[in-house]
Amino acid sequence: MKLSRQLVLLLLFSSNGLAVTVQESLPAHSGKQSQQERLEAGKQIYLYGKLADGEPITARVRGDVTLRGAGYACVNCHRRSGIGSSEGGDPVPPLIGNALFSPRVVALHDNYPSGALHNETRPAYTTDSLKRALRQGVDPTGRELSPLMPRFSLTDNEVLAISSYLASLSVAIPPGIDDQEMHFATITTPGNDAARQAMLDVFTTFFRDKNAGTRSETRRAQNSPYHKDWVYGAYRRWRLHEWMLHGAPEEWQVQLQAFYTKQPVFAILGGVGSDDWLPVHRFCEEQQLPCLMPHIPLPPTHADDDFYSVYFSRGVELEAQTLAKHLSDTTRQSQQVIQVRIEQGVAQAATDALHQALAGRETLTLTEIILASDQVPALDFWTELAAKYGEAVWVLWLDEEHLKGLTSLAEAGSTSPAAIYLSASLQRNISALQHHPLHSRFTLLTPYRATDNENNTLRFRTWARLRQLPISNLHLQSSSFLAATLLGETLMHLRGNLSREYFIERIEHIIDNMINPSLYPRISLAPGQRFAAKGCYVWEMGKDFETAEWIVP
Amino acid sequence: MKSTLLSVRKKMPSFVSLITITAAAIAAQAGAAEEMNHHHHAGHAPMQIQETTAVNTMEDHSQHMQAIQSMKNHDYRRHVDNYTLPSLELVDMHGKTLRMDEVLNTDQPLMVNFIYTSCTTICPILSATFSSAQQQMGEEAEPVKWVSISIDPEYDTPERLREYAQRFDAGANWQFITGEVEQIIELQKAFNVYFGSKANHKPVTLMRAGRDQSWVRIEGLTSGAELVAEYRQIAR
Repeated sequence: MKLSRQLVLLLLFSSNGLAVTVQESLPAHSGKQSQQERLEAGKQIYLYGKLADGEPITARVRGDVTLRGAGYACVNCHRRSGIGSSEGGDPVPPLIGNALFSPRVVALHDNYPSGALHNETRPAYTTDSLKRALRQGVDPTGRELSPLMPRFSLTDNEVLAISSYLASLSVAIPPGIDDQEMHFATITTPGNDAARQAMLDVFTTFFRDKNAGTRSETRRAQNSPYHKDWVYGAYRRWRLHEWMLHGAPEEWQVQLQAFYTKQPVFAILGGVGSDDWLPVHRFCEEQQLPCLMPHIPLPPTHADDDFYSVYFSRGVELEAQTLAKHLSDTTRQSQQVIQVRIEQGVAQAATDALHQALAGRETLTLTEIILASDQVPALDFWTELAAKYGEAVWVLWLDEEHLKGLTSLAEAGSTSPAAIYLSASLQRNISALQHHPLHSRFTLLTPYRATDNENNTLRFRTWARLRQLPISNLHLQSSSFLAATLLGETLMHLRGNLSREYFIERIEHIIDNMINPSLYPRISLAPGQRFAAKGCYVWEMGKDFETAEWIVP
Repeated sequence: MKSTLLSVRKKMPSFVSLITITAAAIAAQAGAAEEMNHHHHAGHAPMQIQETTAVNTMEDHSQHMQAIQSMKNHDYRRHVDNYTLPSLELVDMHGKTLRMDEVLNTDQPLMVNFIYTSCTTICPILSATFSSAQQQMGEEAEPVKWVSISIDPEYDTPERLREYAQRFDAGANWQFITGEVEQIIELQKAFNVYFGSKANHKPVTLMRAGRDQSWVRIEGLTSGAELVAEYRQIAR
């Protein structure tokens, strides 16, 4: 008897009778808002937790824990894509229109990735059941939602706004993908021929392998058993395009646009260049195009505030901040610091960053020496520098070409500085530095291991050897391999959900668990983090690399 | 199905109020009217901000009821555990290096949780729960040392921890801790809260009354009132 009463209750709870009751309580003026205004209002709530009157959203969890503000906007858990995420085994279900406003029927494979039987069958959400979910935390069947889901204070109009924004979210296939193929681009710039070839070798080999390994899957997808269609159906042939940019960075935007118009791509994978990367970064943000950049010397510092570009390190700025911390920790009495850089290029960002990081340190005085763009300092320059600043700390923001003349200083036997710091990000290939006659006097600032301990990169080196791929630049190539592997694993996680936003969100989520075959000692991301490697080594090159100090500035 | 329905009736008072007429009729039919009438807001309009505030500061006992019921329903798990604290060096939110003992082996009562500042799902709620418990305890919260340990120490620099602390109006007795990766991993292992990747981390709160006391380990999300109730049990 008792059981049957409960069945009646359940039926009534999930019937439309309740929905009608709520519908009548809607304010009469709700129709005045245009669809476009409603969508925008919903977007403001979803992304920024901002209500129409400018007030932040408020909510409660577990009855008495009050929440307020952007930190509790929908986007935090359900993510920009609306496809959801998971944390600690707690699933955050998808909210995109076609998932939320369709009935959900549990099938075993839907429980991926958490493995728990959490996604229970429910009818399609309506505006009214969405209202109850948002305010009271109950799903359309009357089941209580996870305690992680805040119970929001929202008016009817605000729920309608959220509802229309959610309806607009979808996993429509973005540009760069057709039924058969997925297109990717890699960016190269002139004057970096060796790096370009080293990177392209890795990518083209990786793509060839991938396409060879999955060529029959695309065929199987057409005639697959029901439980495999979602696996096979996601396979496509990968195609890599090289976008070679010419001229000054200011001219890149037009060139990027032309490449993209000719053949849209799903993502940009890697790039080589010694210039300011801001035009590429901006292009990726504007086109909402994911960009994976393993080795760029100067990514924009504000990348954390943007969404679509992921970098492996902060390059020269990270090195400058690391040096600032190192100098502050090790220098007791007053010390002069000489920075040398060339006029153009990314080194200015490095000297600026060191200035900024050392602001207020009265014991350290900074002097900057700027070389003309075409000036390669010769013997007399270094001799004069030594005569004038012989006792100082030298920070040479120069590449190996500009350091060649420094050789003669050793031969001349002049007084030499207290320390000579060099940047790994500015070298085309740091192995060249190790053959520099003065290398035992250098201290290298490097975000990645300068020597291989044979363990980290074993996976990459074995892969390369089996494919008879020459290793000319271990850092660049192993990090390119990491980027390509990351691309592959992430796409596997995406399956059919080919959303660019979801792609970035999955990278944030899985990169910590990736096997890292690169020289970066640790790679890690989280929502909103855009630089995977956080620290930098300070390595006195005359000593074994294992003695290097690891600093996270 | 049976338990699902019970939880709808007991834990979702606002839902009930939203559909008052229909629900009341059903409840009468089901012979469960007393459950419904117990709730203070029956008959009110859908939840508004003002109501939320009122519920938090004064009037009825629905929250306590809810808290008690939650405990009975085992929405979180509670264990008593003993942990061996390794000797570690940690860094506080002002960049000061501290020994593990200075942070966690004190005479003060301790409340400890594990967070990271770019965590968007569990951590903001764990931190808001600490805030809520502190507000409910008032002066009683002051002798307690509240500690949040970052499990993403390379990103969570002292500066980022200070910003995070500000988001939750953390007072001087709420300390945020970071350190070197290896040390923080060892610390997590010592408390059995290491899950490999930070994205796998689970909500765990640890508390103890003072030096050499056993730890109470709470797994899952609690309300502020539940956390206070748990604290009072050990602080007696």
